[in-house]
Amino acid sequence: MRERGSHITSPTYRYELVVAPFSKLGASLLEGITLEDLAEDPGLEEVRSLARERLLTAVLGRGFHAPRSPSLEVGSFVAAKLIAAGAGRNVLSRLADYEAKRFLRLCQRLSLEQLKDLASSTFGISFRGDWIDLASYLRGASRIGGRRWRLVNRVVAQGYVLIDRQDLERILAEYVRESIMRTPELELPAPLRRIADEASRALAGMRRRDEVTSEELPPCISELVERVRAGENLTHQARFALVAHLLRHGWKESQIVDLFRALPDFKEKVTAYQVAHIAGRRYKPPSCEKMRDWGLCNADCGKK
Amino acid sequence: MKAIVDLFRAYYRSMRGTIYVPEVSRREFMFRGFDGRVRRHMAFRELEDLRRYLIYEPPLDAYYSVSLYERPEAEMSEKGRIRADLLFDIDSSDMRDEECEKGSVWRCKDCGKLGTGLSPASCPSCGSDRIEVNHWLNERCIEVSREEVRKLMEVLTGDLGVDEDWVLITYTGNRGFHVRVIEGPLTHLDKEARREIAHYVMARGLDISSFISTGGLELRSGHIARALRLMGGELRGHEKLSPRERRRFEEALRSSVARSAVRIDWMVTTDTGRLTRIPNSLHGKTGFRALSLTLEEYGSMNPFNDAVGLPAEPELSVEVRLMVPRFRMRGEAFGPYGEGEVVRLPAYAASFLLLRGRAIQSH
Repeated sequence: MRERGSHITSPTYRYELVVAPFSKLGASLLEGITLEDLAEDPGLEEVRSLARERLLTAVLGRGFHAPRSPSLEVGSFVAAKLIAAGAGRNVLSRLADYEAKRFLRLCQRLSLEQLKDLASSTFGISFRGDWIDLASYLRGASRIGGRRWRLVNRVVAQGYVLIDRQDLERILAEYVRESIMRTPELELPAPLRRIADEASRALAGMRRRDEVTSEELPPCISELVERVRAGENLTHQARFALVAHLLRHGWKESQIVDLFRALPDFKEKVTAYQVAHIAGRRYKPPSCEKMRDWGLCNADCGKK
Repeated sequence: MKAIVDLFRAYYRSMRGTIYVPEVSRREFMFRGFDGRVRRHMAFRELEDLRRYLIYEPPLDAYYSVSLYERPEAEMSEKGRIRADLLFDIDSSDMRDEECEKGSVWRCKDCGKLGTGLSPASCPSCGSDRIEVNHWLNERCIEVSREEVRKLMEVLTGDLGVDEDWVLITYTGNRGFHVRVIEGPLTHLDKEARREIAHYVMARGLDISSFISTGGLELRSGHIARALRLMGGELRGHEKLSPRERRRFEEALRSSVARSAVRIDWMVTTDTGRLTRIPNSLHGKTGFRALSLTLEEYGSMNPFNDAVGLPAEPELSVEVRLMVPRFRMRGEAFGPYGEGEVVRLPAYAASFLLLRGRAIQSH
């Protein structure tokens, strides 16, 4: 884009912005640009086009777009999330997953120092050597499934948590996801609305509506069904618990796979395999105590 | 109950200066009246307004929200949470300590069988699991809860980086303690993060073998380090252990971790919508003060001397309805009393029995 004539002043080339278009530095590049500019300015045509590419790639789940110039990356990132927010939670959730995973892949090329700078300046995370402050750790890690991410299995001292580089990358990816999910929903000008509608249609084409209702499920499982339908990213344990329960309640494997179509990282083959595996082994649904341990119990329902 | 309402009012009049809620104007209040009515979504601009209210309409129990809100008096969805104290509830009722439960009376709701001491999971006579308990409390209940507070403080200040000045410890007025972190980064945590903290404190889900294989035994903080200290110092060379020795070592470590873990009600810690008792208000099941305590005080306080909120005068007559074990208050010994016995007691002791549901007023 604004290599000529738009509002975005071209910075000296910085790869960091390509990897992390969400950064504070990135945001500063967009100062003074309005939503109307993003929609109408002829100088921002490339931005709109790359924003569309981001969204469609995210929705269709086919790899990542080819990296472009830093200013184009930043502009299209912001445009894409505003459009996605206008298109609804499901599209936004796909985009959040896409950007988080794209960051996770590309950030390998940043030095540890760059990663930490990014973490501090953009997300307010503080460090003491290899230790990350407790509140920041929890903000990212409490949404990641798996025993090793639980605080109880971490080395914790003086309000800091010991992590390695890979942990930091993964935590930052969660921050990216979360920050995109918090994008405010704005009234979109027509040119952006058209892209939003296109993304929604593409998503609708990806999933067939599931017809099964969530009646008579325990409250924790109904909530998971709702969360999946809203396109929310669930932890591994939550997915397992959901599948095991639904099978127990007589859902067919194909119905369960259909339900999962709403998830941002849905892959038919993988899901079908996992569901078939749980069905084949006849795994018992997790007990109430397990559900509580995993943080999935949402009510004192009295069921066992 | 009229007599007790008057005693509560007199307490709130003479002790008004001790009633304290940090950032009072941002909190939601809830009161349970002597008539059983509950009032929610109340707010006070200033501490003085709250103190006046307590005198004007003394409640049986008085609570405020752990959360601070933009609009504390609004409906839940409209309140606008700013942040929330991180609350730990330590209650000896959860610890199933035999001596603490000595004076407790349980009753099967189905067949009516009565028993004393630790309540069984199911009725020994009809097998029903519908068992209600009228808990007693004694010095032992306070002793076991106090130990949990001590361990919790070690985890909070040593591991979690909580400054002692950010912590408010109170006696609940009944069988345990509340520990609140009221300042610092942990007051901004969401529900999921609070669950992580709660489980950490309890060592719930702790994967001991992962600590051993990553060489975590060099640790200076955390449950594993404390457990090792409890076992008598550092152990090294664990990587050279035979599988059998390693299993035994893990077993020993596991039971030691259980001693380092803090027993809290974790659902309370995760719930930012929680209401909690106002410090120095009276507890409706004891007439005791929910005393706010310094780090030195919680280690030695005895509620039967230090937290008695009601006066000795007037003496009241009560008729015992459920056996009362021997107990001491303000240095004076009372009981034991059997069912049907009518006794004349100082107001604080009579109220204690009335509020616990062990006696009714007799005229």
